[in-house]
Amino acid sequence: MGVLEQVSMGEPIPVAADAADEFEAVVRAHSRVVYRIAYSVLRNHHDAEDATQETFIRCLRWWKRLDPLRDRRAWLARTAWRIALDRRPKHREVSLDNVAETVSAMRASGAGVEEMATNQQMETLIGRLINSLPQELREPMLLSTVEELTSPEIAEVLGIPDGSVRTRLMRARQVLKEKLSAVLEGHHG
Amino acid sequence: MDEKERNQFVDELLDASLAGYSTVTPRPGLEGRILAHVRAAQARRSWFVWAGWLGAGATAALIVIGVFSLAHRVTIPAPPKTVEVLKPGVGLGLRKGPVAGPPHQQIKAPRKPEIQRARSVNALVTRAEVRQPVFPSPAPLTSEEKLLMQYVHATPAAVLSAPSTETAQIAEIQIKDLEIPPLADETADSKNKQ
Repeated sequence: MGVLEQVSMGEPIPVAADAADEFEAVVRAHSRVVYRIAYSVLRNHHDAEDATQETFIRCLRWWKRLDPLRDRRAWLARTAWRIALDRRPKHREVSLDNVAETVSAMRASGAGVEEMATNQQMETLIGRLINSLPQELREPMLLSTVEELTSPEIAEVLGIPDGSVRTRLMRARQVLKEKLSAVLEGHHG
Repeated sequence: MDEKERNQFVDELLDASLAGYSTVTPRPGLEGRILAHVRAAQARRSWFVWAGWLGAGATAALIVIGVFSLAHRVTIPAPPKTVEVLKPGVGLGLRKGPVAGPPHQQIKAPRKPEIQRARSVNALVTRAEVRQPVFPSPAPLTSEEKLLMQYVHATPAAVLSAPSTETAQIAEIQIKDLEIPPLADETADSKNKQ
């Protein structure tokens, strides 16, 4: 029996067992990608989970109007993205001046690339670098870090052409590389 | 570290960092928490829906009660649209009573059955006499007349037709013949003139 048979009371939501099972299947299939989209923006497990739950509540509210499978996934991604942006505190321009200690500490410890990439300080640095990007580059970059999302899906979430997504991703990566290189060069060049 | 090595290092570091940037694993039981949260939200929403319906029903009931009571208050018999007020002794001269206003003053009743205006018109009408189509106009009985009618209805006809004690006493009175003695001065004067 579907869990949502007990949920569907007085709302335009699925009341049949099949629909409840289908919704439960959708939750199980897409909850991770929704969660990761929210997390890519919010960078906080608790906030990302709240955004995920709100996304599926909206999904249930609009269930009958959603077209089958692929549209549901795109709709979920777009909704999660918007909810996460709404919940995100106003973006502040991040200065890279205070990253010096982070980079020098990692380089001094002699850590490898993989180890450095998984380091909390490096994650913070990358986050700051991404946040320092202009919005038109930052948003495709954030979504591209969610490995489940393809370039066309990112285009659909952002409402821009697929080609624009690819172009912006290349530019964003180039800018990030220059900034990271500048940071590293500033301390070791 | 030459430039080529540095470029390669930066590329690898950036790729590795971006790959792991959002590759996070949610806490176990995410789907169950989502479904439970959705269920709770729907229960709350259902409660709000019921509360909304109850509130709407109560409001509708209040409106119906208000309209019903207003309709009953409006059904106060409306006065005639035009009434003619007469002074006592004016016109046929058969009516007497307190009359306000000049003779043949016409009072227009309100078109809309508004309560306040109807009350004011009723107050005027009660102080005036209304010319009725039947002549003589039926007038309500006074309290004395009502008492008399009650007495007549409650008293047997034999008692009503029997002569009263005063009548009996009056019947027994015998009136003597009037005797007027002739005046002495008048007879003397007539004799002198002759």
